[in-house]
Amino acid sequence: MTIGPATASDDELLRLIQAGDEDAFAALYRRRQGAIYRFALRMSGSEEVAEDVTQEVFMTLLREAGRYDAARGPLASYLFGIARHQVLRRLGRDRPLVPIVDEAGDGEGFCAQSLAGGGDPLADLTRQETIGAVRQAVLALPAHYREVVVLCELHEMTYAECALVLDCAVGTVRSRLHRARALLLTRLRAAEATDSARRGADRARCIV
Amino acid sequence: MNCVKFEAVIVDLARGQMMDAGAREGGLAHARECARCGARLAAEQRLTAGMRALAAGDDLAEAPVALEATLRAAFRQQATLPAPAALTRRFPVWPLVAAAGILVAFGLIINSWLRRPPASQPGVEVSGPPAPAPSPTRALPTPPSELAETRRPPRVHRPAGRPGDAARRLNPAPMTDEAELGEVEVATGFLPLIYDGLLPPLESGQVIRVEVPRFALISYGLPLNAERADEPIKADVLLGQDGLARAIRLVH
Repeated sequence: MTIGPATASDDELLRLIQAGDEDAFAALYRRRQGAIYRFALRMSGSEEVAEDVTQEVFMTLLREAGRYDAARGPLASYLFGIARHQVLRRLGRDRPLVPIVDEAGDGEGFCAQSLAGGGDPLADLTRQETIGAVRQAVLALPAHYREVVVLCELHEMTYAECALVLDCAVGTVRSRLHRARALLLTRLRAAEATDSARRGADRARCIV
Repeated sequence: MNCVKFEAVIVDLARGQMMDAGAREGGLAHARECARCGARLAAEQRLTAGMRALAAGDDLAEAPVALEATLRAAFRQQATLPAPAALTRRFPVWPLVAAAGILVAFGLIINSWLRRPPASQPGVEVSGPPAPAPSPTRALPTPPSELAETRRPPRVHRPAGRPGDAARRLNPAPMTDEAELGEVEVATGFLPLIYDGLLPPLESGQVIRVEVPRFALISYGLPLNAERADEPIKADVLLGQDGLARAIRLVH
């Protein structure tokens, strides 16, 4: 019985790819491109960067498939590792061009009270503004905190899986995540305070 | 559980991670008792909910469809090209560079050797104008590192060996069967001959003694003393299994 590309494992697909099987490459791409694209998107906040990174990840796989060592971890982690490297390189290169996040809020009248305290969390968290604020707060994190948040929180990786991608100790992942979440809460509280002050001023202006 | 220990488990509690049951119960109990830690846990839980909302918001985001076509085209292009790494392994550049350097160095040495007047010596075929006899203790005043002094042995057929090592291993080896034992001859080291095309690896070789006019050295890229162009010179040529000359050394 032969294994089709749709049911083959990543490692089997990689062997087929190395043997020149284009369908296997397409199957692996379809299986993994979404996660890689979203990782790059969440890390960079740019669809253009995410597309470039996704392309570069699979081009690297084409060129250097032999460098993957199954003993060091699953292929998915290997691909995330390439993506991370590419994203960090792009972020370093494009840093002067990245628009500065408005620390005072995104201008959409969002208030982060749902995260920093008060209100009905479930009702508030469904709001698009909340999602936007969290996204901005994540993007404002330093890269080494951001990647842990993206992998553990948004991609729901375990600490061990994340450590594999980042090539660091599990304890490092835990401590970075703890620190990153504290930074996120601080930023969201600051956003809430600014938003409250702005709304207060708007209300006062209306009264006057 | 106190506040310090609670801080160590708060993230796992807020994220609903698998954790020790005792630590979970202890943490939750502390959060109920301590207002500050209770508020901290509530904030962390709301942050977790916000993260999950963010993840769900772009969970369907994917790369543009056109990217797959681009990558498939790249795959087909890649499949038609030989792997660069394999090329590098099969045809390393450094041996060619090293061989060229050695050839130039030997060329300079041989040039100075050929410019010297020929020495009369028993057993060595010399033609041309007579020259002052050298010291009897020295066959030729040539640097010992460049000229190997050998006694003539029977001709040998070299067994297979590593291609790159063939010329080097043959250097100090016995060479010909032309002369009697005890007769001393002086030879240069083997000079590798470089061809435009790539030769198959040297699997076996045979050394033959030839006598050629000096001007024939030009075809091997060796320098020529124009005044003695017509004089013959002895040389040992290393022939590969394909009959092509792989290396040459001059014998005096």
